[in-house]
Amino acid sequence: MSERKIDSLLDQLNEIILGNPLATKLSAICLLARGHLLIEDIPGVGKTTLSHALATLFGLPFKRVQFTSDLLPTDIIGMTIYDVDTKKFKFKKGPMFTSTLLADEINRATPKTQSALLQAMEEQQVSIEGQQIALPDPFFVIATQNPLEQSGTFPLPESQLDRFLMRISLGYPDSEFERQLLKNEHGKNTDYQSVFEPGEVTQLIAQVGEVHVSDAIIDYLQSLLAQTRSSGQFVNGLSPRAGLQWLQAARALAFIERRDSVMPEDIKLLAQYTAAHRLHCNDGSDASTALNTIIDQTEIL
Amino acid sequence: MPTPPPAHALGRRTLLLLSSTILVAVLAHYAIASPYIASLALLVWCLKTGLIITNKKNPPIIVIMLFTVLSILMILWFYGGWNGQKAGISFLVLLVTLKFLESATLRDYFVICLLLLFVASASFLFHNTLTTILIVSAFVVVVLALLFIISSPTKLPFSASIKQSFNLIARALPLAVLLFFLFPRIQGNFGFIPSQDRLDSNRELSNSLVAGEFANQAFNDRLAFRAEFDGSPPVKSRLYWRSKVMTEESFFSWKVQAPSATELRLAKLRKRSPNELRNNQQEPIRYSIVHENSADQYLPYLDYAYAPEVGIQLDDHSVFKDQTTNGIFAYRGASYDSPTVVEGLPINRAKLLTTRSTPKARTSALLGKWRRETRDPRQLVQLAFDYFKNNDFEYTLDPAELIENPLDEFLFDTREGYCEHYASAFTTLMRWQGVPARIVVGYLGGETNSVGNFVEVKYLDAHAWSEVWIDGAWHRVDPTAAANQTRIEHGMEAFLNIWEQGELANGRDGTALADFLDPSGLRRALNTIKQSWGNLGYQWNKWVVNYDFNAQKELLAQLGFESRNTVYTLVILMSVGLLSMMLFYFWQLIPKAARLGESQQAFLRFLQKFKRHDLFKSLSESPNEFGVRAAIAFPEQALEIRDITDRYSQIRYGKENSNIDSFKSAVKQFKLKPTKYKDQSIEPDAENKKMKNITDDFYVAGQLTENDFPELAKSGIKTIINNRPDGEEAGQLESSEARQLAEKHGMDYHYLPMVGGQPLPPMLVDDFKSTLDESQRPVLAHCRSGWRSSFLWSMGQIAAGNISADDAIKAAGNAGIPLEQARATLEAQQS
Repeated sequence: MSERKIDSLLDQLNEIILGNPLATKLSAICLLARGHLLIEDIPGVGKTTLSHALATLFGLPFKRVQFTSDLLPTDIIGMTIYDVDTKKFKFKKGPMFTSTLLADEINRATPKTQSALLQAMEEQQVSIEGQQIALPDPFFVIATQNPLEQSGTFPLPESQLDRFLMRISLGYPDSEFERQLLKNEHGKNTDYQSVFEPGEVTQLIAQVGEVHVSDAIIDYLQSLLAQTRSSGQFVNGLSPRAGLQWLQAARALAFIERRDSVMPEDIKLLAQYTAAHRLHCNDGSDASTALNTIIDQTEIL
Repeated sequence: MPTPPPAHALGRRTLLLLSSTILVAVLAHYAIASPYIASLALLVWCLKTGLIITNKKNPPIIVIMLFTVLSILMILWFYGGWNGQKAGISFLVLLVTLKFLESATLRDYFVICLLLLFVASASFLFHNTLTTILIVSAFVVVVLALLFIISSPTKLPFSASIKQSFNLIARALPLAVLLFFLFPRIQGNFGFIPSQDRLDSNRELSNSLVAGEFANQAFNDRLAFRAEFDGSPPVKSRLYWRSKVMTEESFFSWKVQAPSATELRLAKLRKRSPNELRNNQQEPIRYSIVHENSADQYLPYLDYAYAPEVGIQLDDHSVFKDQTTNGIFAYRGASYDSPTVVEGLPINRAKLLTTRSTPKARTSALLGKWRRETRDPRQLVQLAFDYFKNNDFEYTLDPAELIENPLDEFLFDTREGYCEHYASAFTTLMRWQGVPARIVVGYLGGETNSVGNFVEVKYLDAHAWSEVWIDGAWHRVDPTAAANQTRIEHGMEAFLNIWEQGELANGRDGTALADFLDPSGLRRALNTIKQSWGNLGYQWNKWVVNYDFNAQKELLAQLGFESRNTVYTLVILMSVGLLSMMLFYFWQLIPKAARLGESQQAFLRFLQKFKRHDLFKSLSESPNEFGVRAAIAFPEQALEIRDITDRYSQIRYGKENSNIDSFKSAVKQFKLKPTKYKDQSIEPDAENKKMKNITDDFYVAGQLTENDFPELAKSGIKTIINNRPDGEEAGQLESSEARQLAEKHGMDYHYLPMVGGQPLPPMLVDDFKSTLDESQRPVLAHCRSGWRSSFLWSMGQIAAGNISADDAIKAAGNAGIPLEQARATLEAQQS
């Protein structure tokens, strides 16, 4: 039942984001795998549209924060204010208390603000004056980063990049789709309805966890992880967290494709999106190329 | 920092297992060394085992010390010193039991296991038969298993430890075999003094012959030697194996006179070269002997040996070796049936006529009677022989005791005896008659092993006969033959068989013998088993135990290392040995590749079938991805291919346990048919050759001929695409000619060949589609039958999303082209 729903969700999503079925699929995978998404792209290619549509279709509350250099942690987390009526201090929740948060241009904020967000991403809770306050479940962050304008920005350090399950870019649409877009053939379709009832998404996420992972898959993934560490091409190899997230994403992919077990293709397909952004070549060359080499040299049998 | 030794306590069961292993070593000691020392070891073992069973503490140190002192004293007493192999192994066995008595920690038990391994290897100094090897191997397996059990901090089941033990041995085996062949076999006794370890000479041929004692050998079924003849072996009654010659008589017993130093020196000088053999007119009987361990200095050779390879031939034809060797030894012999060799040497006549005993009254009368009849030595021999033959002399294994005048009593009263009685009596009689005579002791006959085609001679085959000097030559006379023919003709085993059945006394000599000579049923089967085992032992001795330095040199020569001298050989052997050890060490260091599972091996076999048709799975290609690609390349078998790859994916990555066996059989049954694009499923008859429309402006057809072109042009075809490679069959229209014909009739012509039996070229589908798109309609594509053209068209159209696979198959089906078989490939194109 919910599988059908996933299909219709993706279909609708692909009607909103034209000609990029992979990006829409990946973002759905990211959400189902309890990961966070980093979109690295220039403005105006539909990042906000994607995240808004994703949140709406999944039936999750959505908030958007534009990150700027003067943004403070409290601006996103919230703050404690004095309530005159009750004569008590009361915590006023910030925009972070939502299920889907779009952190636009995250690299414009100061590291302090960035890390407040990143800590929440990792722990799914925030600490206010020694108190732990849990964030909604699921908690899904889509952060965007503009790779071109680097002046006056604070690019996310490598350790922070590891917090994101995936990094994708949307890219320019095909001429055909852009034409459709320009001609406004399908209009600015904003009247879409959520596909899922509240609470259904958590069930879906639980089902993703049940996707079977055979020993052969573990062996394959492990040998890939080991090679990123031992090849000597990278500053650091992939962390165990990277491995866990990669596998979880593969589960989600298999789930979306209505399979009950992970196939090696899933692992291979996701490598570019779940692993490449965590790796940095020693000689400054492209990490995804080096990663592809490793994949090409690892036998699947 | 070395890791600290393990410090876990051993369970009682482990201790009892260790205890029983030690018991085996102690009991085996009875078979090797002094039973008194073995008993002492057994006593110590009992003490400790009792302590283990009753869960008591070890005895005080003073008790252990006492046992130690006792052990040392006993070894000194029984062996007269420390030297010698027996003293050594006794010392080892006592060491094991005493260590066992005092052991309390893990370290002690480790030491015991190592000592037990030492004992096991030392036992080869005493026995190296096949049986020993089997027993010792089993023992070593158990000791190694014990080591595993002891060193494991957790409880290790016995079966698991045995498995590990076998594993360990299997790893060591290649190196062991290599070292066996190549490690230098230095001859020598390694400091042991063999003189202290005289073999049990009671069990061998004695150097003296005492009446009544020799018969004991009849029950000694220990193996003496095995002989293999180059040709077929002579009959049993001619197999007189000469070992030693006895010339000194004293009161009915005989003694060997050891050769003096001068005699030996002279014999050595006389040692003939083998070349001389060829000068002899008669062809000798040639054979090789593998002799069991023996301390006897006289070597058995078939009468009459000529130029023996090993040992020195003495004047009396016996062969003497001045050094005793340890263990099994082999030599070759050449013998003549009769003593044709001219005796150039005078005999010591006086010595050969001397007797200590003197004839008593009855004997004197007999001798006088014979002397009156004849003076001719030949007739005297015949008279004596006939005397035994005609007076009911009996051949028996337990002759009556001869008390005062042995010869007299034997000749006139008891008239029963073993071969020594007859030989001894006959020889003495001859000497008294003035005919030089002597006794020869050796073996007669032996059991023929028909499995290995050799003769097995045991100590029970020991025999004594006489030789008399007549007309300047020695003649063999076997007086036993006068008393019993069975022994001579069929061998001792046959005689023993009758003897055991008690038939001899009953006078029914026949049935048991016939039964023995031609056994039936169970007995024949038992005989075959016995002979097979004997043959195994023989081959073992011949090839393994007897593998010595010379054999090693020969092996090396065959491998191309011709040895100039011993040092050179040694150096080569050493370096090869060291090198192989190093290689072995490094080989052990190489990490082992993960072993492939059953399903993976089957999948590899599946991939192998594609390799023959130039389709390879790239390293990182997943089974599914390969399946899709292979299905496109071999569309006719697409369903089968996808089925196999799907099953494999399910086995490897799937959730449910799939049936590996059915997958394996599917792989086994799968045969790649390289003819799939030759579309042999349709016969291109006249009907098929006609053009068939797939769509309004696309047609397919079979092979075109020259005559078809005007017609095609007439029917309005604008473009022709040829998908059939040139030269697929004889008489096929070449594409270049076809092009000219097409152009002549105003049609465009494209040549896009699809080669049968090979993977689909990646660009072909795209090329076909773009050609189609850019061409003037209507278009006709053709191959042999139209299958390939329809397939290419469908692939392109499906990929473009113009039609579904179902539609394509239906459209082709309407035109009579069976595309169904490529359904999986076409469907794969859909997504």
